[in-house]
Amino acid sequence: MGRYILRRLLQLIPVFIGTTFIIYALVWALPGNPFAGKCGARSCPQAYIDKMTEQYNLNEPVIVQYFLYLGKLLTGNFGETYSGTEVGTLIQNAYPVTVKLALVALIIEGVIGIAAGVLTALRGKGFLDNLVLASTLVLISVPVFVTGFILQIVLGVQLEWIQPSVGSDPTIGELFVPGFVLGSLSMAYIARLSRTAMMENKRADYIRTATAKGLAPRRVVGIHMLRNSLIPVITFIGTDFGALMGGAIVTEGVFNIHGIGGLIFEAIMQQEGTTVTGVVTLLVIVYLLMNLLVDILYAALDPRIRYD
Amino acid sequence: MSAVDNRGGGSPESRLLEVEDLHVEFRSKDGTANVLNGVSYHVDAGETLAVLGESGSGKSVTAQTVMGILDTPPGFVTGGSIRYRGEEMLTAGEERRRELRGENMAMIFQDALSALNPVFTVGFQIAEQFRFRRGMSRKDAMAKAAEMLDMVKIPNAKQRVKEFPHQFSGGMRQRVMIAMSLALDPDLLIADEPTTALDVTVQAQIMDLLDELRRERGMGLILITHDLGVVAEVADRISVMYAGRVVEKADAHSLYKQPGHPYTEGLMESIPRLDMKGHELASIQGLPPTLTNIPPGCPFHPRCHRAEDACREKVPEFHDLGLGRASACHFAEELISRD
Amino acid sequence: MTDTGEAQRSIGSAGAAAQATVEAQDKASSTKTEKQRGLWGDAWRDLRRRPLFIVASAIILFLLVMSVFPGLFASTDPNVQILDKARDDPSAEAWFGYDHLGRDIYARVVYGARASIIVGVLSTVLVVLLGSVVGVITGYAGGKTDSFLSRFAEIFLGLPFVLGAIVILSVFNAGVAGTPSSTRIMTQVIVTIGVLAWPICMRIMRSAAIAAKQQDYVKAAKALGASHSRIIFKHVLPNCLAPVMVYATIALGGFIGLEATLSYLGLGLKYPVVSWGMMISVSQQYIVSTPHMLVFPALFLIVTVLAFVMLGDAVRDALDPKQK
Repeated sequence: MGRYILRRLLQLIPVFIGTTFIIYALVWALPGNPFAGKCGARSCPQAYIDKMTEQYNLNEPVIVQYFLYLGKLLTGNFGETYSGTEVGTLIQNAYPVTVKLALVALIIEGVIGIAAGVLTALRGKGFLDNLVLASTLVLISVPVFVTGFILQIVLGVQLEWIQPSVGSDPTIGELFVPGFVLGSLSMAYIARLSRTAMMENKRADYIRTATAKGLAPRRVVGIHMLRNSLIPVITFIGTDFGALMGGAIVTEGVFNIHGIGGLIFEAIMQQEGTTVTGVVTLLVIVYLLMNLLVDILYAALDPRIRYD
Repeated sequence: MSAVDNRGGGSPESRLLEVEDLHVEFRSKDGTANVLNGVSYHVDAGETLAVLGESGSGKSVTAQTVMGILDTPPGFVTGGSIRYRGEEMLTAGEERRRELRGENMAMIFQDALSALNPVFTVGFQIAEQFRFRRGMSRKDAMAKAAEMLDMVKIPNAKQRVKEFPHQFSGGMRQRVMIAMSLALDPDLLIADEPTTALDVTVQAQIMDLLDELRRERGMGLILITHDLGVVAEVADRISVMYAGRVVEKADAHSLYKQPGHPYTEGLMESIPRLDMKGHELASIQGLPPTLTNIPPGCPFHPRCHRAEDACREKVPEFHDLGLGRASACHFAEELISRD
Repeated sequence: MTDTGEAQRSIGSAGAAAQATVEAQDKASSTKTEKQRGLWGDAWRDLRRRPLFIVASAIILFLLVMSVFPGLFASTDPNVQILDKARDDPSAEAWFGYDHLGRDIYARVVYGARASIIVGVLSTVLVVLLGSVVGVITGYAGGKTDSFLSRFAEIFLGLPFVLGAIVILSVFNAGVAGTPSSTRIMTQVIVTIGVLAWPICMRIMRSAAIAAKQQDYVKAAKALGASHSRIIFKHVLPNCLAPVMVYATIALGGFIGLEATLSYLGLGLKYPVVSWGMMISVSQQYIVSTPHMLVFPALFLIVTVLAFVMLGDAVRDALDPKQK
């Protein structure tokens, strides 16, 4: 197991470098003057250009620049924006909100998705099954910004049940609807995944064995069937955390949440390269580590998987 | 279907299990398949009944119906009776049937790898019964589970309870399955093709073990198989099934000596024998009937070399041949009186 | 080792659906081409009976006609502004009303279909081409080639989808002064989606190719000295067709939604192209007084995506013998 984790970690390094390099290169190595339009309507003062050139080693080839940047990053130095704010501080302020939002989304999608999937699988064909299937189709088909927008208008503006836009330090309650929106797609997916898994396991031989042992139906379903069916669902939820954080950008935009997504969107619009690379790097790390964690979790959940 | 001499020990009241005229159909979009068309057999305490037949003949469905674990839908019981120690099972409530499962009747399956839950240790799966049926503590139940593994001669049982099904070899896994089925000390054990998935050498070990355990515990054993070799050694009586019916029943010895149904005859002739080396191996021509469309008359007639007009028109009655034998062939008497 | 990282957002469900088809097909088609034909024949017979499939196909057909000949459906120019009719409600004259600049929303919705369909179809083609080529190579070759290309694909999977698209598109946009041509804008969006989504298709193709490679008839063909190209085209590719088709159909819907999302964020399609995403984006400011500015483009967008997802679902179910 230890060797497996080590090997996976080593495999992560080239992927991490590749991903972050692409972003770095896209942001910094564009042809043309990197300072064009970065200081508002006027051209940047020479002193500023010199300072930035020195700070980001802009005279070096891109690849050297990148590794120098990476070196700084590893010591925890995310660099500064043009106005001199520490990117590290910006991230520190924005990060908790997005983590909270992603967690709320994860819980909502997990609870509703699993409940819907398990219930329909147990009930079999009928009204409930069709209802859930139809809702998953709709959830998959409606883009997140439309779901968010509609819920914001209906629940926030017309019914006034929620605040249409969320404050800077939102409570869990305030994040409920944005979390639902963010998790809606995955919720549909989890419902389908758990339904399929349950349907497959329902006819499995070991379920018949459990029944033949005279176990109570509650235990047959609740322990034997559920335990096996939830393995793919739980691993999906695990990988989804990283994806949700990176995907929060639209939801945060719709509900005006000041998280990572808002930060990066603004940074892109204002061409704040340091912020963009810093945030994306962080998101990539979270995504890759969550994937690794899920693979390890998989081994814990399914004893048949052996990593060596 | 007909009054059959009840020889083979015991009166109907003392019978461990009596299946009578059982009808089961499978309903699906494409139609109804008549999977069981009046199956009757019985087993007494301490004896081994072998149920023989090709796949699709209804052996397993009968067993699942007896256990009350038939998947409904698609399977529906449409008639007949199953009596365990005189108690009617088909009208008993689900709760009562669950009480009997494991405790009084148990079943082992062909493929132990898929019949055991892959994500729990074998100890957990055996201990489960002690915990939830006997109210034992987790620790005591685990100790009992180890005892059970020891009983089925799995070496190093104390360590192996903590292992998962995929960590056992095929034969050892089937032993686990047996240990699990015997945990609550049932007096009826149904073994559904217990050795089919195993190597030949291991098959014999498992059969010996089952036979030994049956003798020690005085259990009734229903052995479902398509392997005549297995049957010969351990069965007291044999029921042969075809297209959802019992077509012949007899004690093992006389059935081997002189089959009373052309189907049984065909089965026996398709076993390779050393003394017949050089001869072409006989086989039963054709395929078993589709159960949605069983031919009129004797269901075996399209494959039977003896078939006459009577066979195409009239369903042969399952009739008594004396000495506890019965057969569903118009020419049964002729067949058993041959030399 | 498992591919639990499979699940990518937004079009991940398509990927997983197709993955299921790989497995199902793997079990179903253990013999050669007759089985293949059998699989498709069965699927087709099954599909024709599914109301879901018929409804979805009808909608898609309608949309295709609309995007090729928008003039058949709307006689008004979608970009003509009649300012004194701005934000007028739906009427007999303009079925869906007018937007904030007095443009006929019905005409705009009709013309918007073209952009969505073009972006959806072309990015799917790009993704499937890129993904299939790399996927078949990795799956068939295995070994070092496989691990190198798989790592390379992971680099793109590691980029959050929307985020990656935003960065790439903003870079594209930064290089241009003034209003870029509509062809250029569309190409940018298509290329961006292609670059980010190909690894998902590659993974599906790769596992299908690996499954096909292990079939006995492929081993037999190899033993008989068949060339690599012959094995790939005769045996491996036909096996990979079903899962990739399922993925492509569902992904097409997903890409249309993605294009709308990018346009909504102001990074995708721009004037003079008419796009549903843009229309929804603009409607935000007028939502309370002029809800029809949101309702109609959103409805068209949802129905379009839904049609493709439904079609993909139906095809997957038809190809998956387990579901029957």
